[in-house]
Amino acid sequence: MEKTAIVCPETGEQTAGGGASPFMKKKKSRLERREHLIAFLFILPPIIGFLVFTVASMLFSFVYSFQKYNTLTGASSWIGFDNYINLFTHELFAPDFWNSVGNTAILLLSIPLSMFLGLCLAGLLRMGDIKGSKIFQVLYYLPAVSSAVAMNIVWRYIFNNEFGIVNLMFNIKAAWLSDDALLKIAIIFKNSINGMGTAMILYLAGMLNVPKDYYEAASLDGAGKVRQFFSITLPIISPVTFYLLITGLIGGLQSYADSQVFAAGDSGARTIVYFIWARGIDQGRYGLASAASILLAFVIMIITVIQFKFSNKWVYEE
Amino acid sequence: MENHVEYKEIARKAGYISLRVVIYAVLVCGAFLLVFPYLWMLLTSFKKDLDAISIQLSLFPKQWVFHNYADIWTFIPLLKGLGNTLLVEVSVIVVGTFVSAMAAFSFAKLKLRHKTFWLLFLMSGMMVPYAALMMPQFRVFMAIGMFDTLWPLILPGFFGNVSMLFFLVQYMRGIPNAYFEAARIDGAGHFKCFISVMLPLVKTAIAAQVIFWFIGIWNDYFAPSIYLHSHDRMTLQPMLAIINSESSSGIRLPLIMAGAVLASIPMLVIYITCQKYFIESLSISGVKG
Amino acid sequence: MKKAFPLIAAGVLMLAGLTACGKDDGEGEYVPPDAELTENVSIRFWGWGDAAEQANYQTLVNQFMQENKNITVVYTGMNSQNYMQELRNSATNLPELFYMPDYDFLEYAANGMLKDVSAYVSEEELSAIWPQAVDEYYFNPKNNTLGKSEGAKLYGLPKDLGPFTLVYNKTLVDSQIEKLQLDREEIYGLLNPNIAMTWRQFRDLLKKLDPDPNDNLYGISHYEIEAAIYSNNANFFNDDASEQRITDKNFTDALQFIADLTLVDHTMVEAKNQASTNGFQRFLASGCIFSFMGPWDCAQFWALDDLTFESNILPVPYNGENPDAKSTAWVGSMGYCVSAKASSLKTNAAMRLAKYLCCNEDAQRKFYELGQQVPNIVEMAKDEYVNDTKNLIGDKDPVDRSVWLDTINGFSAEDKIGGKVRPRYYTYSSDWYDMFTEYIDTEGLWTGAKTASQICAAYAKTFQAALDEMRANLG
Repeated sequence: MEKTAIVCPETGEQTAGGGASPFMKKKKSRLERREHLIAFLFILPPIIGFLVFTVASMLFSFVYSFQKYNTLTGASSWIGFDNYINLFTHELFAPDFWNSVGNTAILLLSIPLSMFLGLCLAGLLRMGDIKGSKIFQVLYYLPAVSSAVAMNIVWRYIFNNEFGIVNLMFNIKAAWLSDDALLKIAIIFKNSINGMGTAMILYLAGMLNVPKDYYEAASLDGAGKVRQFFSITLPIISPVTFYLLITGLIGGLQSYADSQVFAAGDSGARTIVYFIWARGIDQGRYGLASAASILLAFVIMIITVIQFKFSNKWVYEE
Repeated sequence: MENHVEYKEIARKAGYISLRVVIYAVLVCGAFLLVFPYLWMLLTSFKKDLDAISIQLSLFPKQWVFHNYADIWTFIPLLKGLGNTLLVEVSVIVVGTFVSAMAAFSFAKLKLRHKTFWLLFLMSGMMVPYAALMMPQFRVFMAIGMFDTLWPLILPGFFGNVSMLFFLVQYMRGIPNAYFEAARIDGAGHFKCFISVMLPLVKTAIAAQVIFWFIGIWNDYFAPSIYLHSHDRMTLQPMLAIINSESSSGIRLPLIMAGAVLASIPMLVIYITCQKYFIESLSISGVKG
Repeated sequence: MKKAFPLIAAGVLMLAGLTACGKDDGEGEYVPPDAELTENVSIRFWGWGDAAEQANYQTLVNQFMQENKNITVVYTGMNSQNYMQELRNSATNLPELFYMPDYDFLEYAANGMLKDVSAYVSEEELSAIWPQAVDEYYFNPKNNTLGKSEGAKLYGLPKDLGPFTLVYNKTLVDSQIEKLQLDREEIYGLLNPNIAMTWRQFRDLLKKLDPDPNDNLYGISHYEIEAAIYSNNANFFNDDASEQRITDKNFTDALQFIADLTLVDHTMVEAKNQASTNGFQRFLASGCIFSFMGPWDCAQFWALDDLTFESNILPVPYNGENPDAKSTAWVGSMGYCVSAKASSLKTNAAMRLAKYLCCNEDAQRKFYELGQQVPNIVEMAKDEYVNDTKNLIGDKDPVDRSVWLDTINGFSAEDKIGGKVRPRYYTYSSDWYDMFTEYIDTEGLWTGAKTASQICAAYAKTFQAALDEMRANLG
């Protein structure tokens, strides 16, 4: 729903931080217990919500994924790993599954593209010392606050094979909405320019954080602008790059509106979440869809864990 | 010698100015590209039905018609959609923000057993895709009779918003403990400390997060489209999708665009008036993250 | 960690408890089907349609409540696109009365979701409406077979019966005749509502009316696959949908006929452009001379204020070279079905409403006046509707509404025009259809990369697997 902020858990420090409670008097254990209790009551609502809406639902999905589940009668029977095997090998389901996995992966290309565009734009804003920088930031961030439904309806109209303005303007007859490759190109283009605003703002903020004397020292050493960019700016803004990459990946793996509204369900742009929606909600093949959603959750989990495990090694920190 | 330096200076300046012109041009082009869908939406909404799908390129309507903005109200109850959306927004944000802030306060400032575990526990929710949850959730909401009501959209929000929670935990940690000691000496309890000391201190941080949340709810389509069916119980996004559905209006593109324009206006107004918060809190979440 | 597990368990229990408490309406005193209702009863009724159709239904429901004071009907009109998902996901708590499209009837009936309503309708009441429509909603739970047969029960009343036939833009035909100096007599001789064209005649006609493949006018927007397959006496599978028939020559010939309209004659819209603009949209925009339409499309037709052309309908063309082939369009239908869990009291009330919507003259008159369907009542359809004796339709197109009646009526000995239910009606689920059409599309039938017989031969095994899977699910 909203941008996921990356929060370093700082696990060790946190407990220490917790110990530094301003209300704690070491010897009064009754008071201390009371504080524990109140603190726990304070965090209880999110925990209950999480248990009910996430953990329990997830468990149900997990259970469904090992069952043949009749959505109408509610009858179910255990079939072991059949749903997973069917996803990978069944002649009726596997082609669609692999197709949607492939599509999802290809459509992720828009993430590095939007990051690159955002970096270039941020660089331009910095270099030119642009007066209306704020106005540009506001305009470039516009797609991020726009309704995906409204925008996809318009983009679909813009890319229409016959009366779309793209084809009319360039006087071509490209089948943007039905050719598998063109459809993906259209989506990647659209998502890249829609995402570049966010990247631009974050990179710009990152660049402003670079201390001026770094550059001064570098130019004294005779390093050119290009060298400076690669050896100073880029490493220092690496947390931003990392943040954009991870949030982009997690969001991109869950893309749905592009397949549903923009591509109107065309097989060339079906993503994995569309597959889950179509098989599970639309066709009532709950077990199969649950298996796919569990796999997706697993992949996203791995990405997140990698993020936490290795962020210290990859990312520059002061 | 002096002249030479001057020439060089002028040349450098000229180069700088032309560079800036080029940069401006690039930036303006990019901005136009992003604003274009909105422009196109607006222009199309004034076209006649057949004009909009004509294969002759015409940016502006051949004949300006305004009836789409009148027709849309009978086609779909947009005002009710707006009301429903606001109802979800207000109830979720008021309760959810309070709950999130309270939990964040506890994580940041109180002594809590297994704090790290609980924080990680909640955080793990961020990596669960909604796709893996939607089917069981749907069946439960159906079973308890919340079909075609706003409850399935409101209820989960009452339990807080995890990303807001984390943002606030980070933010609150930065607030010195000294602030609370005075209140503490006056005999204030934890809850009182939270309400009268912490909340006023973090209200700008909360405001920034609320805006993001507001937009997120405003644009949410997936869950509302699953839960809501009757036209007058829908929020705006599924309404838009319905105007777009081919079965009812394949040919009336201008009408669809008029609906999209109307549904976008409140959000755009909020965005433009609060743009400062957006850009700032976005920068913070990325850099400090 | 220790604290977490009891909490998780509690959460799970909570959810499980919530799931289990879906209400069962099957309690209360037994109310016989023919009993007059004396106590107050409230029922839910779900349907779909655009805003105008929903408003019309609400009006009719209000009228029904006026006449049946102690029945309260809560009508929920939905969007046609996600109606079936909602119904499926509400399976544990279905409304008392709901729309059931024919293509999902088998799955719901076989799973025992629908109430046997045989006792709630008399033979006399049924005899007034199209038997082709009523028969669709018979099902025998003993051997899971569809249709009226020994032991079969009635599981719903038809909402409508919709033949999907050929339609042409008369204004465009006239202007092409003038522009291209064509023989008017000859052209209109072929556009005959009582005699279907053969494929050969139709192809020649299209080429005459649309000789230039490069202009922006197309001969026909698209071609309904069933219309071609049925009109060549072919089908996707045998009678009980257990064996595939897509490798039959008649089947592949029919597909090839459609493909050749684009590939050889250049008179039909290319597949890529069909994908971005649907056929009806193109037809309304005067982008093509022919397309397909059903009675429910009239409503949209009539609502369009800047429509500038006249149109009329025709029976679908058939393969004249196949002696067994007749002009056969597909006929869609939808039923009013009652939840199996509804109590006898609620079933009684729900069936009163269903009968009101299905067989009441005023209701049926309102439906055709709004351009939503051909009346269910045979007598009304044959005279009042076709000849517009009550003058409710006026000069609105199409004029030759008899084509729809002929199509519904089916074949008699001499008759060459008829209709047939969509193939998805006969199968347990419908995704095979999308898989098939997608396969022939990606393999390049419409672009000429492969021929219909090559593609169908390659797909036969998978298609049979899909049929087998559905048979297995049916049990």
